[in-house]
Amino acid sequence: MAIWFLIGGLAVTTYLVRLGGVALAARRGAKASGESRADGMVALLPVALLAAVAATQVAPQGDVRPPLLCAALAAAVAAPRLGFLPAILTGGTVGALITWW
Amino acid sequence: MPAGYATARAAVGRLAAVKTPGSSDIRLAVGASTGAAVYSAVFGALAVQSGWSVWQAVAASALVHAGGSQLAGLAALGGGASPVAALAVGTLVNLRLGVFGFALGDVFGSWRDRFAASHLVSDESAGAALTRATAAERRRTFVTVGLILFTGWTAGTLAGAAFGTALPAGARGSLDPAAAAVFAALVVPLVRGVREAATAVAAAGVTVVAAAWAPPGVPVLLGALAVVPAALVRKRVKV
Repeated sequence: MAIWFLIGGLAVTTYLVRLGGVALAARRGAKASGESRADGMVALLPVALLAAVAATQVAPQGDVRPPLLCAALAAAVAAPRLGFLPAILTGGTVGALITWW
Repeated sequence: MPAGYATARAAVGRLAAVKTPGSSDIRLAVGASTGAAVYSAVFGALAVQSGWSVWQAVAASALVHAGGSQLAGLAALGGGASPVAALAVGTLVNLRLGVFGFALGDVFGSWRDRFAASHLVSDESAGAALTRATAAERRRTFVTVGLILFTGWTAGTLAGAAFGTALPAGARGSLDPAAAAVFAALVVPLVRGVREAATAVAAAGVTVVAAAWAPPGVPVLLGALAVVPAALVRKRVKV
């Protein structure tokens, strides 16, 4: 029963959190589209969010792990030149090799 | 057929028929969902080891569709926390998804689309969509990556829950570099100038420092606040 409560409760709260974000963006409405979209915080939000998530992957619990850092750096260098998927493969391979080494 | 069901089907149909997915969308989706499938297999295996049934693990992935919170809730419940406390921990981890949904902005054209597509909002689907220049491209990429990721995530959980004992030891450890690479490869194309670079560095720095003491989920939210000084600097320059 506790497991189903967790699953059901988490499903509801997670959906509401997602919908809340989307609804806020919608309320921002048409005035946020077009040129103003490139301005201010909203334009920078994706950069900050993805950098923050990348940081949590590289440094779980705030502890920077060299293999993960090397994987991220290798992928970051490879992404503009090779594209997304080859960059992941490059970064993942570099990180795995360093881990094993 | 209930009217609500027909409406939901129509909304999903419109979302899926936005445009034929480009090959770059497929590459993004495959890259993201392959890692996610392995990650979710680890969740499935851990859930069954903790006493969950296979179908409870699969239901969690299908209904919640948010890996960090699923693992956090599983760990909390397994560690003796009450169901309400485990739910609170999982919800806290997922607060960042609201910010991702907000950042997607004009991807959702109508309320029906918003209700239908909100479940697909994840770090990967939103991150991939935000690398696109126009609203139409963001929408197409979001739906493509979101649907493939959801399929991979759920299928991975089923495989991990059903065959978890056969999963190689340390599978999670070998996956971690790939997860780090995914988000690094997503953020780099968005850095087009000094302002974006400074924001990314500040966000990463704040997150790393916060991760040492803050509960899961909170560091990312604190890192996202790095946009505030960057926006203020721009405002002062404009004045």
